[in-house]
Formats: sequence, C-alpha cells, structure tokens
Amino acid sequence: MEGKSLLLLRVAGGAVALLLQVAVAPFISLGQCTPNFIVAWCAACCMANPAKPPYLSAFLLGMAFDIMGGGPVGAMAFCLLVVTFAASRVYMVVSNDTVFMTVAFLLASVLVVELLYAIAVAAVQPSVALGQALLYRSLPNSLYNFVVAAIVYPVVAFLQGRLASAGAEMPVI
Amino acid sequence: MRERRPLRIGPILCALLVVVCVLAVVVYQREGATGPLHSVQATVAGIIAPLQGPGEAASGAVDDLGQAQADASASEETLSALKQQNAELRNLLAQAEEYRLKAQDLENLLNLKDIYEIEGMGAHVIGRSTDSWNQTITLDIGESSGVKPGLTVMGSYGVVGQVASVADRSCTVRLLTDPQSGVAALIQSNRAEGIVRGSLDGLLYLENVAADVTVEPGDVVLTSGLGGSYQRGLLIGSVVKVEGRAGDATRTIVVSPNDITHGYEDVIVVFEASGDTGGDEGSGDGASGDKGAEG
Repeated sequence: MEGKSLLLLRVAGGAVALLLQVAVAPFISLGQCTPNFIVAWCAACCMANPAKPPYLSAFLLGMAFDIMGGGPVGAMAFCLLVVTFAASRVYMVVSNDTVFMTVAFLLASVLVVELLYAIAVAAVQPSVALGQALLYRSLPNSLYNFVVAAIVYPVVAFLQGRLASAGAEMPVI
Repeated sequence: MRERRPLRIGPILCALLVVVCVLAVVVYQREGATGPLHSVQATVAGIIAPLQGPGEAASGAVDDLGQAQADASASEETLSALKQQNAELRNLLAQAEEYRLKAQDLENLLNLKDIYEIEGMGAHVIGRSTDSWNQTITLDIGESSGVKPGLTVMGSYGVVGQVASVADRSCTVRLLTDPQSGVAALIQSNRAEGIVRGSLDGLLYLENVAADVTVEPGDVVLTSGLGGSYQRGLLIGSVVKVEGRAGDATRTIVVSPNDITHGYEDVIVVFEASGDTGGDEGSGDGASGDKGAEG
C-alpha cells in the first residue's frame, strides 16, 4: 500500500512540477534566470525518501524538460539521474536527522544538477563558454531552484508522512 | 544452504536509464536540425505554447499592479521630473515625425520602397522558452505556411532572431540574444563587417571587426547578408559601448538590439527582401546564422 501511495504521490507531484515548468516558470524569471520546478521536485523527493530514489521520475521529467526546451535531449535527464542516485546514497549514510543536513543536501543537489547541465551544454554547444555558463546560469539558477526546493520539500515530506500513516492504518486483508 | 541476496533493481534501472540518456544526447548532437528529436522538440513547443497564455496574463496583471503602486506612491519631485521628461519626449516625437515625413518623401522620390520591400508573413508569439538556457520564442505559423529553418524574423523595429526549427503549425525562433545566435553584420557608417553574437550575459557583441576600423557608440548595425542566413540590410541595433580602440586586438563592442520581444506580440517572418544580395536562405557558412538551425 505504501508503495502505491508513494507512486501516486510521485506521479501527481511530477505532473504538477511539469505543468508549473511550462505555465509558470517563464513568467517568474529573475533577469535571465528561470526556476526549474523539475529539479526542485526531484531533489525534494530524493531527500524525503532516500531509500527509494525517484529514478523513473527523474528520467521522465528530465526528458520532458529537454523536449520542451531547446537544449540537448537527454542532458537534463542524465544530470537528474546521476544526482538522484548519488545524493540518495550519500544522504542515507551521512544523514543525522537534522534540518541542516537536509537543507545542505538540497542545496548541493540542485547545484550539482546545474553544474553538470552547464558542462553538458558547453560540451554539446561550442558557442557556449563553460565559465560563462557556470557564472551566468548555473549559480543563479541553483539559488533559485534551491529556494523552490526548500518550499517543496516540507510539502513532500508532510504528504509522504500522511500517506504512510494512512497506509499503516489500513486493515490488512 | 547459502542465502541468496535479493536483486536490487534500482541501481540497474538507473544505469540503464543513464545509458538511454547518453544515447539520446549523442543522437541529438549528430542529427541535423530536421532530425527526429529536433522535430519532436519543435512540435512539443507548439503544443505546450497555449498553456502559457494564463501565465502571461497573470504576469501582466502583477506588472500592472506593481506599476500602479509605484505611480500612486510617486513623490512630487518624481512627478515634475516625469512631466519634464514627457515634454522632452513630445518634442523628440515631433522631430521624429518630421524626419519620418522627410524620409518618406525621399523614399518615394528614390523609389527606395521598392528596393527594400520585404515579403513576409505576420505571426503571433504564442510561447517562450521554459528554461533559462535558451532564448527562444514560439510562433503560430509553421511549415504549412511556408516557414523554413533559417528565415529571418523581424519585430516592429528590427531583427529579433531566426527560425531554428519548424513544426506543421508552429515554429521556434532563436533570438539574437541566445548564445547560439550569430548574424553577419555591417556597421552602416563605415561599412565594416563583423558578426553579432548573443551571449549568456544577455548582451550582443560585435566581433571579427577589422582592427583598424574605428567604431563609435551610436553607430548603426545592419545585417550584411553574408552567408545568406539573414536578409541583407535589416536593422539589428546600435553600438552602445566600445572597450578598447582601433588596433586593439581585444576590443569589445557591445550592441544594443533595436527590438526585443518582451511579451506576446506580432512579428514578421521574412521570406524575401528585395534588397537582398545574399545567397540562398538557410545556407549558413558557419560564421553567421543560427548554428542550432544548421545542426
């Protein structure tokens, strides 16, 4: 039951993140920095339940992001998968149930996603200088995404807790 | 009997998906602008564009609210400054109208209208890039209207970009400010040629200008038509900043675009300009035009 609830939560949350990315993100840009709800959602899911990292969500949402945008298809999906895998593993080992650790991992996750994506874009598109990509896109994007992730994470953790307790109260037939 | 460890499907799934991603990036990189992945991108851009309508309306409402609040709380000093600015602008407008009428007379006299006549199709901007790595807009006309990758797109006051990819009923335009954009240009006053490139910092840079050419702020920059990617003689913008002097190898020239598509507005996709002396459309030489369109 818990597995089904988690799946439902991730499907619904992923769909909302995708919708926000299409309909809202372009209009809340700060300068040339557009928030990435998909990165924030994946990072929050990863921290909320590191034992079950959202590999499939990361892949599907990353591919959707790539196809909706103009960048290389597969690049964001790759970055999200790598970070989801690494962050969940490391977080399970070093987590000490403090808010600081969660916040630090959220920040690190969104930062690494943006850094990896900048490297991928610079590698695929020769006209994009890596230094400029890191300075003008990765760092500001990371900060913006971190703010979004910091808002999303408590919601995900709360919903996940509610669903888990509801599942535990269900009679076993 | 030795206990068998359960198969962990997560890491295996992750590894498989990573391989799929890498393959997708390789295919995307190797295929041309008309390849299947590029086509899917162009089609999806047209499909999702209508979803951005409510967001645009809400964004406009928030902007109006902020403006109204700022207007309501403006001080007396600000108001008097604005009145003075308004008077100056009216004066400039009157002058501009005079120049326009004069220019129209000259244009009629020399039949310049025929020479620079642009054949194109009006289009409405229906979407914009969903990420911060690409400066693109989506238009409501596509292949069915005769739009092809490489065509020049103009706003009310100048060139805004170039068609990068086309779907049946929509097309994606890469703006001049995108780091992948590059347009062969010339400075109107001294006919010096160069390439105007977009950048991640949001500015346009005029590069590859001969070292001995003197460039001054205010110089008008036009498309040169070299390479055939853009039509010749269309207004790009004007030079706003020159760091370094003629002869300086590291000279940096910043160009302010004359037209920027901020919101949802109408643009013209240029099929042909009579004054064009360039080659075939979309046959970029690598030094100019949209590299993304060239694939």
